[in-house]
This record gives sequence, C-alpha cells and structure tokens, in this order.
Amino acid sequence: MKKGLKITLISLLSLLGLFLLTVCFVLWSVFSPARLTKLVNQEAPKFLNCNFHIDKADLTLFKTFPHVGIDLHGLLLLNPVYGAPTDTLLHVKHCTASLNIRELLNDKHIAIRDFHLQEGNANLFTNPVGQTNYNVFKTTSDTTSEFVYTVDLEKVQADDVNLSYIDLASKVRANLHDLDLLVKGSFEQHDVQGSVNLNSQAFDVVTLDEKPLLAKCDQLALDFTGDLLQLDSLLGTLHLKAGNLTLHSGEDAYLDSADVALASDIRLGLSRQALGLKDAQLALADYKLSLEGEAQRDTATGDIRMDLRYKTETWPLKEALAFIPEALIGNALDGLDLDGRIGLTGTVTGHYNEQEKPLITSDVTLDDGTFAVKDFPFPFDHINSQFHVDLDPNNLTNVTIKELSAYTGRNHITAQGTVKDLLGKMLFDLALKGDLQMQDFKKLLPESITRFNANAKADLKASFDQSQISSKAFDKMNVKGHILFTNLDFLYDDSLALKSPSLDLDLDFPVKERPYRIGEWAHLIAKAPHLTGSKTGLGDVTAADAHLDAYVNNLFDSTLTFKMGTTYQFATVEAQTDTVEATLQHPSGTFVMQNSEQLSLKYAGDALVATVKGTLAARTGKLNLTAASHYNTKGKNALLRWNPDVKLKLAQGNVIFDKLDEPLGIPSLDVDFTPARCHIKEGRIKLDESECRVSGEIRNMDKYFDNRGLLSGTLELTSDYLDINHIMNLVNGLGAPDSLLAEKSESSEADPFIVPHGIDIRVNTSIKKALYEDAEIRNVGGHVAIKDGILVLDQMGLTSDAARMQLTALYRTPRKNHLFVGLDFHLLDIKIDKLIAMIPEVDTILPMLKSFAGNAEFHFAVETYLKSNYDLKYSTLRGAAAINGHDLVVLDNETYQNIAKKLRFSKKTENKIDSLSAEITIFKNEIDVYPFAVSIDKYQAILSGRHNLDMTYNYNVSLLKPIRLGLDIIGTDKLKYKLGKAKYADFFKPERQNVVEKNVMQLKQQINQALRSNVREQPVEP
Amino acid sequence: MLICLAAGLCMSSCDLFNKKKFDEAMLPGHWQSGTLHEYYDANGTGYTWDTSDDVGPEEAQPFTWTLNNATLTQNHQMEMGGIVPKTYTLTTLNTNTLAYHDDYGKSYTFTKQP
Repeated sequence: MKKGLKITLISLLSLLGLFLLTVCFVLWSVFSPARLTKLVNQEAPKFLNCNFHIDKADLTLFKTFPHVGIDLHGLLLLNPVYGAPTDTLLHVKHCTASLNIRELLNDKHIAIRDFHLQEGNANLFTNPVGQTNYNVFKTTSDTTSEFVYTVDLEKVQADDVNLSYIDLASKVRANLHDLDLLVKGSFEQHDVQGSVNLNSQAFDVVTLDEKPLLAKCDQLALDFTGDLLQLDSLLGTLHLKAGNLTLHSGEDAYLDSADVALASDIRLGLSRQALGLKDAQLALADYKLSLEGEAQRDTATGDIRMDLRYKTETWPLKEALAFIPEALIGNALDGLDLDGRIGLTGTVTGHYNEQEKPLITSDVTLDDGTFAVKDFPFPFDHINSQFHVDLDPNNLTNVTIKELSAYTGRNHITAQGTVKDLLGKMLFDLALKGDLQMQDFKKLLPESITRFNANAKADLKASFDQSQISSKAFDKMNVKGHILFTNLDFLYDDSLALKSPSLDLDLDFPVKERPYRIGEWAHLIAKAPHLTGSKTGLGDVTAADAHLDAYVNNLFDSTLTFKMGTTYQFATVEAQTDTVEATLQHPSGTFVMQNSEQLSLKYAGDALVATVKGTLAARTGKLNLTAASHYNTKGKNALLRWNPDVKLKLAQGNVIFDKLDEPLGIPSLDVDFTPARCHIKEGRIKLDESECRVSGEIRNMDKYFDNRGLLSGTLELTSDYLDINHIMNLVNGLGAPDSLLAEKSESSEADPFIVPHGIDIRVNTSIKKALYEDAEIRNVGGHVAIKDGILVLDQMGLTSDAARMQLTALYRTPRKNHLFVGLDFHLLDIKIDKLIAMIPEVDTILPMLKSFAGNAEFHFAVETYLKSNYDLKYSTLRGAAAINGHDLVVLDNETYQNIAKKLRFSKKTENKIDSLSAEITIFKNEIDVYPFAVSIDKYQAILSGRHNLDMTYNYNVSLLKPIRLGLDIIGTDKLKYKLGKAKYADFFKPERQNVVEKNVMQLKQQINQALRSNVREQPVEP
Repeated sequence: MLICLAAGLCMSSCDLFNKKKFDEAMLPGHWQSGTLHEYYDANGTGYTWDTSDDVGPEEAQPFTWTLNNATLTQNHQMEMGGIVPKTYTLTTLNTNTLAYHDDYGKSYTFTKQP
C-alpha cells in the first residue's frame, strides 16, 4: 500500500512536471493550441514511459484564474502489462491543471491550484508479481534521493470518472462508478493534511480469495477530514454512507441491501491495514449502534483482528435478528420464533478468517418478549430478562441468565442460570421457579399419565438441552427441587388414581442410588396431610399424614413397566375394595413393586380394622406384616395371582364372620404364609366360649387352588373348651365343587354340610372339654382329618357323663343328595339310660335295652347314605352292634310283666341278670338280634329275633331253665305273645349245636370281633 | 307238650328234607326286583342298589356271597369295619328268575336283566 501511494505521488508529481513543461511550451509558442499540442506530444515522452496521446492541448486562463493552466483534451495513456484486462491506463475527456511554477522552482513547493479530470476511465492494475500499469512516469536512477518538495493541493477533482482497480498481488479488485472526487490538502515532511469528499454511484470491492469477501453498494458517499501522517497513518473524521450495502463472504451473506451509515473518528494505519474507530455511530437501516475499537487486517494471512465495543439502542428483536448473518448464527434460529424489545451492550473480539470468527459478547435486556419453539406446545410471552451472551462461533455460545420472567398460558416461570452452546445443543442449567397449572402440561407427559391436574408451586434446579425439550425426553434431564401441589388429581394408566388437597413433593432425577434395584430413575419424597388413591380392580385408599420416600424407574420410557420402591408412614390408612374395607393405624414399612406382577411389602402398624363384605370383619391390636408378592396374571384367584409371601404377627385380633353369631377372637397369631406353605407358629383362637391354640403347617394352597393337588397339613389343636358346632358352621361347604353346591337338594330347605374337597388336613386334638350337638364331652384326644371330601374323626377318645367313648366317624359327601356317614362308636362303661338319652337311635336298634338298667359296654358300627335333608336312605343302611353288660337290672315294665307272666316267672324272682352279651345287625330296615342268653334268678333264656324300623316285631324267647319253652313275641304296637318251641335250645352247647346254630354262633363271633377290633384303651377319669 | 314236640319235629324234618340244591353258576348276573337291584359276579362278589333311594349302580354297595345248596349267604362288609351277614333260602333260580326268602318270612323275587 505504501508502495502504491508512493507510486501515486510520484505519478502525480510527474503529471505536474508535464504540466510545467506544457506551460513552458505555451509560453514558448505564444499560447498556440496547435503549437502547444505539438510541443506536449514532443516533450511528453521525456516524462512518460508509456504510450500516450493528446487530442489537443490548450492554455486556460479562466478555468484556473488567477493562475494560468493547461487543458488537455482527449488524454490517453496506454501501458500494457501482462495479465491486465486492458492496455488503457487512463482515458479522460479533459484534464485541467494549474500549477505555481515559481514556487515549484524557487521554493521546491508544489502548489497545485487546480487539477481536474473529467469524464473518463482509469484502469489501475497490478499483476501477481507486483508489476503495475500505472508506474508510467520516468524517474531518475537515483531512487535513494529524498522527495524534498512540499505539496499544496488547493483543489484536486474528478468528475464522472470510472475507476477500476485490480491488484492481483494483494488479491483485491475494486470499482468505483461515476466517481466524483474532491481532494484538498497539503503535503509536507511526509505528512498530508486535507479532506476528501467522494461520491460514487456504485462501488464494489472484492477480495480474490478462495472464499471472496464482497462489499458493494449503490450509493457511496465518503467525507473525510484529517491527516495522513508519514503517508501511512490516516487520522480524521469519517462520514460514510453506503446505500443498499451488501456484504458476502463466499456464499455466506452477512448483509443484504442494507443502508449503512457510519460517523466516526477513525484511525487508519495504511501499512498495518488497521482501522480504529472512536465514538463511531453506525446505523444499519433503523438500528443504531455505538461502536469503538480497532480492526486490523493481517496483510500476510488476510486475517482481520477485531477489538470492538458496541452498544445498541432498544431494537425490536424479531426484525433485528433478521440482520444477524446466517454465517454467524447458523441455523440456530430455525424453528424458533422470538420477539420483544432488546438492547445490547457488548464487545467483538478476535480474528476473522475462514476458520475463525470473532467472539461477540453481549449484555442483553429483553422486555416484553415472546418465545416459541416449533413443535413445542408452550409458547412463552411477557418475557422480561437480563442475560449475558458470549457468541463464539469458534467454540460454544453461552448465555448467562441473570434473571428471566415469563408466562406460558396462565403459568408463570422465573429462571436464573446458564445456557451453554446456545447455537448448538443449548445446554440449560437453570434454577427455575414456577407457578403452574399442571393440567396445561398434559402434552409434555407420557401417555401413561392419563390425568394430572394440580396447582403447583415449583422450585427446581434443572439441567437439560434443547433436543430434550423438543423431543420431550424429560427423562434425560437432570432435575432436583421441590414442588407443592394443591388440589392434586393424578391418574396413571387409566387405573391408578391419586388425589390430595395438598402434597409436598421433593424430587430428584436421575439418581445414582439403587436402594431397591428397580432401575431407579427418580427419587420422590411426598408428604400429604390427606391422600386418596385408587386402583381399578383393587379399590380405594385414603391416608392421613402420609409420608412416602419413593424411588421409581423411568416413567417416560414407554418400553419399561412401572417400578417403584418406597418407605411409607401414615397416621391412618383406610382401604376399600369391592369386598374389603380396612383401617390401619400408624402403618409404616416399605413397599417394592418390581413390576405389576412382583410386589413386596413390609408393614408394621398399631392396629388393623378390616371388613370383608358378606364374610367377615376383623380388628387387630399390634400388627407386624412382612409381605412379598410375585403377581401372576394367569392365577385363578387372588391368592394365585398375588402369590404372597407373608410373615404376620398380630395381637388382640378379632374376626366377625357373617355366618357366626359370635366373633372369632385371635388373641395372638404368628404365621409365615406362602401359597405353598402356611406355618402357624402360634395361633390362639377364641370363638364364643371356645378357645383353642393352633400350631402346625398347611401346605400346597397353590396346588389346591390350581386344582393340581391336595391342600395338606397337620395342625396341633389344644383347647380347654371347644364348641364343635361353631367350627362345623365355619367350614361348611368350603371348596366344594360348584356343581355340588348347585345341586338341587331333596328339600328346598336342606343345605347339608359339604366336606371341603381337595383338602388333606389332619388336626391332632387335645381338648379338655367340647360341645358337640348337645353333649358335653371331655378329654377329647385324637385326630380330626379332612381328606378330599371326607371328614374323619379318627379314634377320638372322649369322656362324657354317660361313658368313656371312642369314636371313629366318617362323613363323605360325594353328592349333595347322597351323603355318606359312618360311625364306629365304642362306649365303655356306659349307663344304659344315659346311652339311650344320648343316642335315641339305640332304642330303635335294640328296643329291649330300655328294659335294662346298669352299666354296659356298647360297640356300634353303622353306615348309611343320607339324603340332602339327612333323611336315611334305608336301602343303604348297614350296621352292627354288640352290647355286653354285667349285673344289670331288668326294669319292671309292661313288657317284662308280659314275658314273666307267659313264662310263669315267680313273683319273687329277682330282676337282676348277671351278664348280657348281644350282637345285632342292621340291614336296610331290618334289625336282627342274634341269639343271646339272659339269666334272671333261676331262669335262663335265649332271646333272638328281628324287628323292623317300622316297629314290627318278630322275636323268640327260648326258655332253657327251669323248663324248655319258647315264646314268640309278634306284632307292632300291640304285641302278641304266643308260646312255641325253644328255637335255640342248644345254642350255647357247642357239642349239640346244629348247622344253623353253628353258623349263627360263628356270625356272632365275627360281628363281635369286628366291632371290638378298633377299641383302644381310654383313660378313666379320676 | 307232645303236640308241640311233634310239630317241632315235623318242621325240622320238612327243612331237612325239602332242602333243594341250586346251581350257583346260574346266579351271576344282574337281577332286579322293582327298584331293588342285585348283581352277582361269578367270583363270589356282588353289589346291590335301590333306585328308590336315588342310588345308581355306580354307587352300589358291595357284598360277598356263597350259595350252599339252597342257602344264600350275603356278607355285607361295612366301610367302618363291621360285617352284616344275611342268610336267605333260595326257592327259585333259573335263567329268568331268582327267588329267596329269609327266616322271618320276607321273600324276594328277581328277574334277570340283560
């Protein structure tokens, strides 16, 4: 540049020399144009080393008055240089010059009074090797001689000149069209003072780089007044206006057709190519900017280093953003709709080249702004904010939000924090406060959250990025803080509902802790004075003073099933399902839901009050419960679906069964329960006056309810008193097949006890006293077993006022109208009258027994099928009995009187018998009494016969002593007594027995032995 | 007394001399007398049921039987462990009819079922 200026000055001086010569020739040829023209053409080659042509040379008196000048018409300079687009250096219609020759010669002062180019073209060119076409004036060989002249430019002017400048060495090309130039100044001691006024109808300049920087405008007006010190430093005041200014760098547009005005004190270093601005006022269209600082171009690299400070007026944001070059901001604003009033104060520092862009910092004030993101359903308005922006195209553009207040709908949000990489990922790190209506944010929530209505006051710290917002990937965000919900109404997956008038929630996600190993994503601590929840298909829960410390897995990942683990603590919880109502006092514990099919619960509470509608109501004292569940949707009932693993301890329990008049008390219970095994470590049960202690195991509940096996178990039951009638009612019909229960009974009122099916449970009993029907029995020891539809009392030993007893009973219910009952009953040392009172059916089986008094031993086996109303099916009735008595008294009743009369008993006969041993069988309605001997006083007889259940009799008394005589007793109510033969005269004399008697005796023995075979020793009461 | 003795001897001798023999091979099969059914297997077992009590053959009760001359003995074994023996005297046994009575004059007539 310095070299070019030097060449320009030398050229200018050469022109001046040419002008002086011309003046001389004018003077010499007495001002003749022809002579003057000829003279100029002859002498010009002495100064010019290029071809030239002058149409005409003429002296001027008036144009340059009071000085004499010369006017060259049609001046043409031709200087072809390799690579130049044209060989014409200059071609002007007029070139007028006026020079003070005297000062030039005497004072070495070049005083150009006037130099004026009119209507022409100037083509300045430098080829890549630095060869120029405008170095056309001959110079001395002594290039070291110093330029000692002073120069005074009163007026240098160009009108309507087109200037083309191509510098291939510097890779710059510029054009000025219709240039009007007025330069005034002086040059002394390498310093220039003056002013330049330049106007051009069109201007363009472009660098010839790989990525050309282009500036062009329609109207260019430049007014500069100042100094050019040492021909290098330009200092002054610049007013510049460019109309429709366009700035491009390659394909990147930095400015398009904008009117730009600049007024500034400038400092331009030509050699340094540095521009300094002070108090610069830059107007870009209507947007005004104060600017100061320095920009410098590195001539070697082309880099521009900037250090500028700026301050804007308040701009309308949307319009101002339109001026931000896309090259700077990229596509950061795509999809964003921003508006408001914005003011900026900041700096521009750094290098500008193809690789780097300067850092732009800005303190921004935004008033009444709006902000919307494409596809983001929440536009913000009334945005007021102060923030700081570091716009760094080379690295990350960061924003520090000092304060921000915005509304979206009726929701108010304030924020402080940072946004890093504003033009890229937009990494937000914010402290947010919000006053929100949660229902407005439904669109942001996963579809699984069906309803979320609440007023929320939030105080959160959140870290997230723009992609997470636009993709609604809230699970990727980092959020921690506190939200106070009021009037909460939450519904998850159309099935899990939660409501609370006030819920205080601390939340933190994502979390690193893994206390439950459920893929913990969020930590939630909820406190609510009142909370209600419901789950479709399960029921409703109401809690007071709820405190939940919960972890949940990623709620926003639709591929995951919901998991949670929580500790809980409540003052009270009231739960209600279709069938169950429960109230829990001070429950606390943990609850873990691995998924909807795997649950675990730890529970401790002061008390539980529960009601199972239509079944029972329960109340407990202290309750400790540890439960886990693996949910199986294919389970046939609640037990098989939930598969609970429960450890239960309770005290002071009380259960009221609808089918029982009295509550079932559970003073204590310690149970470990799984569907496969229920281990009752200790259970105390109280029912009315009954009380028992139970321990043992019940197994295979899972297989039982899945119809894959028997419910089996062994229980130890001890009791001081037990009312068996209540227990029978309790288990009536449990587990029987529906077909069995639905079977029409014989009587509409009949509802027989159906023994549970699929159950194999043995109860070892030790009962001091029990009530069965109306009989009080004591010392009940033995086994009660229920085995797949069969109820067995196995060799139960018991004692009553009547006798010591052993009872084996079988009750089977194959179908409702076909009930099997079988008894193997042994009464030891029984009083006959009490036996008949206790078992009235004995009188039917052996009617003559009521004629005896005293103790006997009675063995009785009977079985039959019953109808649903317990009526006998006589065709199925089978029975056998044996009675053995000693020292019996024959009661003096009508029958005895009749027999005694017929057999001519003495009136003094003592009605005692030493022994009695009888066998009886029952078949259908036939009761056969096998022959048995009776000895009364001196009489001996054998009794045998049959009576039917319709009370028709056919008996025979074979009197053996003192005479042989038979007496048949036949009839119904009115018995007939007829003498006949002694039917069994030799029955008890084996050597004289006939075949029939032998057979009968054999049968008697079989019957007796079979009956006695099951007797075991019974304890005798003291 | 003599009259009674004579009558008794006469009755005893009638039983002794009137005792018939029946072929037990004729007994097996299904016999029905009204609602009462009896089924005799050749191996000495059998079962009986009465439909008037809403009992079907699948719910019949078992017994064992022996036929000695005309004496048919049914031993009804109880589930509870006792035995109920019943003794009858056959009067007819052919391919179509089974008839017997007990010592108390109760008689039954069955017809053979296919």
